[in-house]
Amino acid sequence: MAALKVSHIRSTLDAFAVLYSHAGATEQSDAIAAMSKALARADKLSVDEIVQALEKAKSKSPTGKT
Amino acid sequence: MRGHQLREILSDIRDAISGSGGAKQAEAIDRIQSALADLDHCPANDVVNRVDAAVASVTQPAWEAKLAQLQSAGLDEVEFLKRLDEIVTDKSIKKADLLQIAQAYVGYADKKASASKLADAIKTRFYGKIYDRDADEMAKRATPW
Repeated sequence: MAALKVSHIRSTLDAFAVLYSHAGATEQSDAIAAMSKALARADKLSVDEIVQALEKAKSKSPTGKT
Repeated sequence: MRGHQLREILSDIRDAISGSGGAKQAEAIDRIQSALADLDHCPANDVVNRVDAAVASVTQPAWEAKLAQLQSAGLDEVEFLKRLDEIVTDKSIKKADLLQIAQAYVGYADKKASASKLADAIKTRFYGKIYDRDADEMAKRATPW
């Protein structure tokens, strides 16, 4: 089975951003939309690649060091 | 909004889709939100910035990432020289990459120049910026009105 692409996740996030917006939860809607926008350039990549990049960024961040 | 609140929204989305045939998407969202757990006490913007940086790290060409590091050193000489040295000694950065960096940082670069000449051109541009800043400051002091 093909690896899940970031675009699949983004379409889900975008759908929920609309739902939150319709429910009047603007702050939540904006936060999810911002997250989706940040992921947009990675649409063609697999979720695995993004998770690995996030883990790498976490290990480099002062807040991520344990 | 804080990071943990954004993660809670993502968890809610995960729960909502996991029960409706979206198990793979739910798992993916769970993995993404888990990777952001260390930012729970930070503003949600920091979480978005982390995602943005992570995406850039896998989608940007290597030279663009190096250029961004060089530019983010600003006019800090020690930091700039450290980052330039990292670029020059990084074997994954080829001469073509260095040419792209030089063209972007300096504004132009000779395609036939050697790698060390390109590094020199970048350094010269940096010291030119320092000179411009110092000249501006001196001019302001000389003409305070």
